[in-house]
Amino acid sequence: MMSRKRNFAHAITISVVIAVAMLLDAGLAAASRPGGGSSYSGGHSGGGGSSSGGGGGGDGIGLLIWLCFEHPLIGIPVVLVILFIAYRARSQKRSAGSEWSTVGRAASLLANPASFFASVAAPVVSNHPIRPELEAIRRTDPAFSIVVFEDFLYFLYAEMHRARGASGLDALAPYIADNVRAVLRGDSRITEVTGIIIGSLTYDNVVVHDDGSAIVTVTIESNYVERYRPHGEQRFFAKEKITLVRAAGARSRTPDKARTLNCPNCGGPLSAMRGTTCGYCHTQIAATQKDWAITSLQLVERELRGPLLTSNVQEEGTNLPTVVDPNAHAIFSQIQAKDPTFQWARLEGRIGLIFQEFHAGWVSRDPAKMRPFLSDNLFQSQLYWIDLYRAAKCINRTDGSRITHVELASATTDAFYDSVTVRLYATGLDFTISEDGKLLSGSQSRPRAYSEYWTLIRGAQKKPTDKGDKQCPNCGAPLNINMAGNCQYCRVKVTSGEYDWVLSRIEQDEAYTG
Amino acid sequence: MTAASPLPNRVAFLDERAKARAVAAVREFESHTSAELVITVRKQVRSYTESDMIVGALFAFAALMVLLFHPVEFAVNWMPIDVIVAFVLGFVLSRTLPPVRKVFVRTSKRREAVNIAAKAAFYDLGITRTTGRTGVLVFVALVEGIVAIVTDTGVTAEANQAANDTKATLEAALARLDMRTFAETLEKLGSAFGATMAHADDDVNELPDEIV
Repeated sequence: MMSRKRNFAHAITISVVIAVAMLLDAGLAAASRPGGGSSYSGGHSGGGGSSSGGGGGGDGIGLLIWLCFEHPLIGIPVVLVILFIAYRARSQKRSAGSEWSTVGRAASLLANPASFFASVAAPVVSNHPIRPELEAIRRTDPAFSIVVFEDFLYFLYAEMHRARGASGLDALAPYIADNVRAVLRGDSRITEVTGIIIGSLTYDNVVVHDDGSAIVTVTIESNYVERYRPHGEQRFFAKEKITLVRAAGARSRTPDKARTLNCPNCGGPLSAMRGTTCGYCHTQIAATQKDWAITSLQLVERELRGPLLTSNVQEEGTNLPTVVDPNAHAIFSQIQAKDPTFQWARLEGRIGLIFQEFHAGWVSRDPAKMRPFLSDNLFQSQLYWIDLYRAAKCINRTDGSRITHVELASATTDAFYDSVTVRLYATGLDFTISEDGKLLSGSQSRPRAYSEYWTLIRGAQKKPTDKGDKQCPNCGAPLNINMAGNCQYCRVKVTSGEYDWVLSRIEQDEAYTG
Repeated sequence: MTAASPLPNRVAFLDERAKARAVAAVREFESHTSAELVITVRKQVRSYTESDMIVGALFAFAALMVLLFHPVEFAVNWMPIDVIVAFVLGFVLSRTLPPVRKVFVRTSKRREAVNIAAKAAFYDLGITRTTGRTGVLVFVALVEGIVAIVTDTGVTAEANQAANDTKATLEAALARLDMRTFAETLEKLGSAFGATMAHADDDVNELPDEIV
């Protein structure tokens, strides 16, 4: 019915338009009738000279007046049409009123100018992502893997702090330069350093020389607990800038050795080190010679800040543009070329599963639920926080959490691992309650939108599996992974990415630099 | 003006009474749900110059036909002028009469233009800046006669569907210049939103409700 009415209205309008057109044109044509000279007539054959002149013309108003008197049947309707057009134009202008909104751009700007300008959502191509510059090491050392390097770095950092309390710094001589060990020995009251959790690792600078030697500077944010003699302990939040150096000719570790610290020459235990000489191979090992070593350590800040369990921490970086590695899509395609079953949609599905299991484990304070899907380092970090909440007798609830959007930020591939970093946007409730149900922080009704950068890794030579997501990819038993990341049934490690993507890093928007 | 104040059956959406009624509707909507509603009314989202050109061309063509086939004699020198003037007259007529323009621009094209403008307004008006990403924009384009609804990522799928289901009713009200029905529809939509996005006592009105 509505369509027929509309069609009828359209037909009427078109007819009126054509009629007015004919009328006006006839009027114009009449005004163009020659008073002499050249002319054209549609009713005669040929005709039409070329001499100039001709009748009619004159200025517009005079023409209209002439038409009204000489050809009133044409002139008067033409005048009426022109008057109608003029009237409509004026009345539209007069009665229009101004456009409006119930909230204005200016009002928004004045309310919060900083976040207004930060609300640009278009992704920004990272013009100086530093982490990918490590790839240059592969020119002289094809076995270098950023994932293995970071795994090693996490482990070395934790061992460095642990050694402060265990007086084991000298044993780490091949990996920590003398000057750094001297600084770390500073406080003799420390009996133990424990609970070392790395919150983030960002690259400040990478220099790779043509001969393969390299200097990497990173900033690590961490939490740890120092225990003192005779008693007492203190938790610290620290930010440290660390420089690692590797000499030319040094070769990279394989993934199975990422979390071991042995003599870099013979593989003997570090406990056999005598100064800088290995008690097994009797070789003097200078730091940086055979492997990465820490040559500089700068404490940027250290605060006596306990864990933020019951504070309302505002999301800072959700409106920041996405930091995108310019090579991200090209390397993503390379990974697809190696494995045609690897598609963005499948990766999104895997991310969705990990997100779901992660939150299920988090809310129930049951780390076993998330274990199959997290790398060792990340799992340790999450385990620590879950234990902290349990010790404080409170529960952080993230009910109703759901992913709203995922976009690609970075991708890398090397001899051992493929890694993909995505920016994950999500929303959900975020509140902390005591074990007896009292609200301690956050809102139980208002969801909070946030985003994070998730890095997932997978073995470069992914092992094929036809098992489902909730089965061990090796033996097919129901997924039951111990804290070490091994299947409880077949004892195979499934959390290093051999079979499928596992979550390796979570970084906040404001901390991620690419 | 409150939600209960009567409005004439027909009132231009740019009228002050319509604006006041819209503000009341926003407040009523937000009393039922944690979503934040913004209503924007624009006269026209773009100039449809292609439509004006078509009408002008039709006029020019008609003029040419008359000049060529009418038995009356015409001055050759004036013919180009005649055709150009006819084109201009048709162009101006189309510009002045929106119903003429609408005939020559398909509904799908108008809807596409309105959707794009609505999404741009969503960003320009800062509607993304709510804590839970629960902003909702109702964008009204008067000349096009189209209503677009843009929702942020935090709006649930059920609420989204409810919003889409009301578009036809809102457009019908717009066609009749019936702001009363338009506002009442939005108020009912607030209740539909509330089923999955309930209002809480600690909800903060993050986007102001006043006319700008």
